[in-house]
Amino acid sequence: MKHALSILIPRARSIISQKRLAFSMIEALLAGSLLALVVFTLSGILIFGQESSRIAGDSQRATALAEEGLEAVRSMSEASFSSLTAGPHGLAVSGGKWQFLGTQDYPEIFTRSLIISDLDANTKVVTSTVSWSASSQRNGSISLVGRFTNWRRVGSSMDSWASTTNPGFDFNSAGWTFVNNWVHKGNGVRSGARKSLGGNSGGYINMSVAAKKNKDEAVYWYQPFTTTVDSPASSTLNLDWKSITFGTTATTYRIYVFIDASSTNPILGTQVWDSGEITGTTAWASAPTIDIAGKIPTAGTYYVKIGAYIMNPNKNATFVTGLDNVTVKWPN
Amino acid sequence: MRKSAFTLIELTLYITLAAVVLFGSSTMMSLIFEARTKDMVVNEVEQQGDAVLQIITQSVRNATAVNSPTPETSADTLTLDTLVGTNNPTIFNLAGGAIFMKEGAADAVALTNSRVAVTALDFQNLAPVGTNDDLRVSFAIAYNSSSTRQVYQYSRNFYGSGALRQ
Repeated sequence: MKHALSILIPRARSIISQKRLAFSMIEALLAGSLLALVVFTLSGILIFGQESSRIAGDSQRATALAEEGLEAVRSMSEASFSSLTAGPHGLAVSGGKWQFLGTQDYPEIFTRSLIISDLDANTKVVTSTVSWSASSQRNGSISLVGRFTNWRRVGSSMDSWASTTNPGFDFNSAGWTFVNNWVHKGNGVRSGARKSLGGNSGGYINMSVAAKKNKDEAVYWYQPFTTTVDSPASSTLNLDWKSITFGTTATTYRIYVFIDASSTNPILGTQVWDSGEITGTTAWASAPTIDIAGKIPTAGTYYVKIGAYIMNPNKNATFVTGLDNVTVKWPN
Repeated sequence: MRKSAFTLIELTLYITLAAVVLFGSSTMMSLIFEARTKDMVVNEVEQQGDAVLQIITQSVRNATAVNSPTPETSADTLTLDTLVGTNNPTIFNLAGGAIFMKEGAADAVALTNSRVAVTALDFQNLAPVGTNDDLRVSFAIAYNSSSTRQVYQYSRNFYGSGALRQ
């Protein structure tokens, strides 16, 4: 037994000793690998961290540009709320002021787009989006959303409107002038008069035309009015009309409404509304509210003209049209 | 005998491994230090630019009036009135490569430090006459270093706008 142990122990020691040497090499390799791993990881963190700082900086500047987009819209909305038309817009500086130009603008590496949509007549939603190429692998994008309200036009207590006078003709036709020779090709009698009864309701004014066969005739009423603001956000015209007497079939027989800057005869094609072809007598009808903001772009004097136009009646006949509750409203 | 031979191989391997590890480590350390320096340079420029932009645009939004530049004009100095009488006028301008803010009779305070150099400070009042002032500020910031090494070269342009709230 003792002999056996005396042989085995030195052998085991020798084996262990040799294994320890082998372990040392593996340990060295492991240690080196671990060190390399740590160094690579740290350097990766720092190098990509630097990239992150650059991307974060670009992101901050993109945010500032997106904010700038909203501030520009704010400035433009104060000057003219109606300039905020729905759709995509780019920004430009012209004449020392912000203005929309194109659908995008390109400050340095960034692309900015302002998208305006209508929430209601006096509220716009503006989305200011700035995008850029953050790195070769990815794109950056920042969107800010703002709502802009036309406070000067919202709420009855804050409204300040002006309107044409004597809309209902309940006592007279003061303020309104009749013109009987807008178009006069025959020798028929044309007249305009205020009637005390039969309007919608109370009094009304009429346009009576005794037209000759195949001879065009047109007459109109007008009233001047003076606005005090540029680019009004909203201005409207309302009227009631009635075909009281329908003489005969004509190529065209319509009621036309014009908003003109001059008091001269109106020009067909520039009307803001027409009744459509009148083919018989009618009851009183209200025209839909007509937006005339685009017709009064700057403060000044304008004329609302409401006429009846008969083209080529197929025989001698009389046409009578009634007008009531004629109102033009504009911000003051 | 066998132990001695093995120790020599071991020694050779160790030295080789150590050389590789040391070379790799030193290269990595060099890269790390360079990355750290660049990181510092980038952050210095980006953060100072953003901070100044925030201070100026926020001051404009809180102001009660812009005295200069007037609507539809531009200037290299911004003069504001604020709700706090003793801070009037509040002036922003560029001097010696730094942006300064001066409130009332107090001394001007530098908003940027000497590690960066600011140029091309410009204020544009882009509001139409008769509406609330809308100030656009723009400037360029570069890292301030006498070294020509690429790691110290970094500059950016900054733009921002603020409109009066009243």
